[in-house]
Amino acid sequence: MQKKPDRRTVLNRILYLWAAVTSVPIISSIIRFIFPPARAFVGSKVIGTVDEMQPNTGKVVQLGERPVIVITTKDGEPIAYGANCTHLGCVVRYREERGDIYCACHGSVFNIEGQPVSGPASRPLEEIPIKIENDQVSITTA
Amino acid sequence: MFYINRATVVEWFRNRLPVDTLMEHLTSKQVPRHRHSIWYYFGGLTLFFFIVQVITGILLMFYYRPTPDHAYESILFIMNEVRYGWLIRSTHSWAANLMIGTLFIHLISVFFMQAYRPPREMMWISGVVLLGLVLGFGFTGYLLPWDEMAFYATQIGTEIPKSIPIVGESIMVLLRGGQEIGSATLTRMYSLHVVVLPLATLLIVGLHLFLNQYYGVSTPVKTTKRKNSIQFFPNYMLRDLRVWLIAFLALLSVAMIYPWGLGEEADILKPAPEGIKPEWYFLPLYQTLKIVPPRIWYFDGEALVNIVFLFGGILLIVLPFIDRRSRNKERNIFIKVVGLIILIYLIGMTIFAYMD
Repeated sequence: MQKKPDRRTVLNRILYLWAAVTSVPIISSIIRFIFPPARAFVGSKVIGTVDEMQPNTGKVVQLGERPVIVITTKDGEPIAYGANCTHLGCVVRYREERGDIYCACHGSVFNIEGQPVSGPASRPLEEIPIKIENDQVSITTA
Repeated sequence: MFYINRATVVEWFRNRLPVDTLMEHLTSKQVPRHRHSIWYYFGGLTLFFFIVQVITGILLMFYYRPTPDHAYESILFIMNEVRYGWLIRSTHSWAANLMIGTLFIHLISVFFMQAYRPPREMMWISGVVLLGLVLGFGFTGYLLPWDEMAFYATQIGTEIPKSIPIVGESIMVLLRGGQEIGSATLTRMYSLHVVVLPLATLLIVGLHLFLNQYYGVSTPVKTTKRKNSIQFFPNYMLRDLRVWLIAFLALLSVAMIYPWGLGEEADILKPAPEGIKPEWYFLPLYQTLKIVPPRIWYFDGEALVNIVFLFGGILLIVLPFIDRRSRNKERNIFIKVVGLIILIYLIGMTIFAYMD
């Protein structure tokens, strides 16, 4: 017949169980604390007037916390993409001489539609909505 | 008049501290001598550079300010206005690289000497963990000057885990303190660099050194020992200190002749400059990511590279349990050849990245 545990053993077991149960919310709180709360920027930003958008040029502007590349095509049409390369996140630049978008970190090249054409990037650049109202060009969060 | 007898003071301490037991242990410990003994110095050298890092790091903390608005400016202040600031910073940066270099050599020598065999498995595991911590020091410290290279190296480094399925995005956010690199990233890297990693390193170094004292130094499999091994204290310790002195003079020389530079201030809107590369110890991973195609069969190329490197790290940790031959004190040529191929790959990729 199994020996009945004495009072000290029972109290010890209760103590261990209590410590184990308490540690779960403590550890969970610490883990939750170190993950920052999501603060997605929602809004728009005026980047200039239509006259200021010179054909075949590109510039990087900030929308919320993220960089956005605004390109005016050779036809004068403004387009915008998230400026972080879809490979490893470096900020890309517009190459006027080739009419493409280039990331110097690992050599990824995107065409003017934001599609990857060479290099290690496999996903297209994220398109950013662009609006023209009363001669003002603005970009907005998707 | 109040008079203190020196002998009484010494006796007081001897009765309260286990000095005699410690001395007895140190003088009875022997360090074997054989044709590979020279590699033993690299563990000690790594410890020496770590001590230099702690001292110079504390000094830099007196002036460094971990915010994007002030970080770069405070480094300029340290380098241009604080007396010997340039030398302290240069020594810190050089010692960091030399520490990683000697740690790699130490790890490689332990690997090829099969010194991870029983009963030293925990020494090996703690050593590999220390390698991870030291690379963590390199990665977190690299961002602190907040210059262009630092910014992009961190941008790439924190983006790398993103391709890992399920947890990748969370790891990236955890490291950055948000979706983008910014002030939250800088404070996170700073607190990791000056508090979390040093505490963890002290703990693991303590364990590593304790085990080293407890089990003594390993002799490679089937290596003939010379008859006269060296007494650890004071003979081997003095030899070690002599090597430390040479290393200290070499470190000061390179820190003075080639002072560590500082690039342009980081600008989150500036496109990545041409020829940007991470520190040399991350080049094999960087170059592999650069040459790997976007898709390999049905898999994402980037994710595959990350998983392979991660798997390599896990294999390194469990090596003592894989190498069954070493348990019987036999040479394992297969493991050594695999290790050599990986080493040649890593060195080759580093050279390729420099030339690319």
